[in-house]
Order: sequence, then structure tokens, then C-alpha cells
Amino acid sequence: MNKEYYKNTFSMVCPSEEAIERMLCMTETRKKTFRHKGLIIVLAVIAALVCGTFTVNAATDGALFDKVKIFINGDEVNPTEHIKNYKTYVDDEGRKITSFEVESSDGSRQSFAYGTNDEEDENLEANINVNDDGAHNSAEISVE
Amino acid sequence: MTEHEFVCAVKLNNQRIFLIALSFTHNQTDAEDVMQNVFLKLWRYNKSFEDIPHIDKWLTRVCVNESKNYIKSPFRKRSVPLEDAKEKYSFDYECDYDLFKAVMSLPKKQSAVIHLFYYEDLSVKEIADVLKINESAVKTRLHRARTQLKQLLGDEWNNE
Repeated sequence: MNKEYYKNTFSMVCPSEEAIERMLCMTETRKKTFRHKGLIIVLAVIAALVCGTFTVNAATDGALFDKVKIFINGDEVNPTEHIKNYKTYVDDEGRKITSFEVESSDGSRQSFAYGTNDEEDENLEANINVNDDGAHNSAEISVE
Repeated sequence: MTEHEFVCAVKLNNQRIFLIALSFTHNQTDAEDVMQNVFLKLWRYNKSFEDIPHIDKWLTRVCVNESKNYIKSPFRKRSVPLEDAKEKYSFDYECDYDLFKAVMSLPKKQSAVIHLFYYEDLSVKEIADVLKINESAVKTRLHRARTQLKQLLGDEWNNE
């Protein structure tokens, strides 16, 4: 009885028409983007030259994206789109602790952290493999 | 995913996804933001789905993850809560509005569990799986939420 009562009540609660329209327009956005692909690329290159370096450096000391490779279902993806909440700090023993989250295509996030000294940090390369079958996902990190 | 498949998925699932997000955010604007993020992820998702239940399950899981990320985000809009819900949603009966108000007054962790159980028909095990918590935590939240709803709604709510 509660389920019926609950479902009847909440079936009257809907998102606004504008919100639905905006979602349906996502497909249009992709088409338009494709049509102006050349222009977008030129603008993106200019924007990257002007801002990219500063943004990446501010967010990650300019280091993390060179060191970490992320693979989702075996395909390498752009780490800038998947790394969230990047933080570094130095612990009591002087080791640099790096922590960050990797966001999968389903929005779930998995946390990773590792500690390195200066020399190790320079040579470090980390591969993160995320397996996402659409129902469950798992992730593992290998550090060299 | 083709444009046609995407449009069908939006039309079939927008209300369901919005309601899951609302059960976490308690706020229409925030819930719509989450819903858009979920469908944006679907549009960008480059793997194929086996069938419609697979899409439904994927959307539910993504919506739960997005909602959890969203309520933790410092960029959350925090606009006015659902005070004008009565006029906005035109409930058939006063008791419907009472139930809506009661669910929205629950702590967010409890309202999310209640919604997944009563509206999405998920089992305790499935809720535990999608929320990434253990089953006893789901049962505790369900029990507390039902007790609270019983207190707020009296005879309108059975503790089943």
C-alpha cells in the first residue's frame, strides 16, 4: 500500500520543460560542434596556448598529468577529464604525498594516493586501469 | 548511442532520474542539474548497452554517483528549497502533498534510501550495491525513515 501511495504521489513531480529541452538540445550541440570543427580546433589551440599551461600548472604543479596514464576498458583517456580533487602535501618524514580521485564514465570516483621522495617522484610513472562493464567497475594502480 | 536512442532514453527516463536526484538534493534546481549531468554522461558514453534494462540500471547508478558528488560539491547552487511544491506539482490530494513534504524533510541519506526502495523497487541488497554501503546500513536507514514518516503522517503511512 505504501509503495502505491508513494508512487502515485511522486509521479506528479516532474522536472521543468526547460530542463528537458536543454537535454534534448545536447544532440544539437554535438552536431553544431562538428559543423564548426575547424574553427573550434583553432580556438581551442589559441585557448590552450593562452590559458592551458597556467591552469594545468595551478591544478597539479604541472607534474601529475605527465606521470599518470589512465586507461578505461583498455583505452587511454585524457587524464585532465578524469582526475578530480588533486592534492599534494609533505608528510612528517619529508615524503611528498599525492592524492587524487579518478572519475569513471558512470560518475563514480575512486581515490588513489602514493608517497614519493624527490628522486622517486621524478622517475615515477603510474598507470591506472579502470574496468567499467556498465554495471560494475573496478580500478587498480600500478606504479613504476 | 544514436541520436534517436538518446532522445528515447531522455523521454523515458527523465522523470525517474530527476526524482532520484531530488531524493538526494531536496532541491528542484540541483536535481535538474544532476539530471542533465547524467544524460550528458549517457550522450558521451561510448560503449553500447545490451538492452533497455541495462540502460535503466546504468542511469540509476550514474544518477546516484552524480547526486553524491553534487551534494559534496562547493559549486552547488543551494537555491531556495521546495517550499512552493504544492502549487508547482498540483497534487491530487492533500495527503499526497503531506507525503512529499514528509519525505523531503527526512535526512538526505534516508530519503534517498526510501525513494530507491518505494519508487525504484530496488531490494535492500540492490540499494546497498548502488550506494556502496552495507545491507545493514540500508536497513537502519529504512527503519529510521519509516519511523519518521509514521510520526509525520500517522495513519496515512503503514510501517510495512
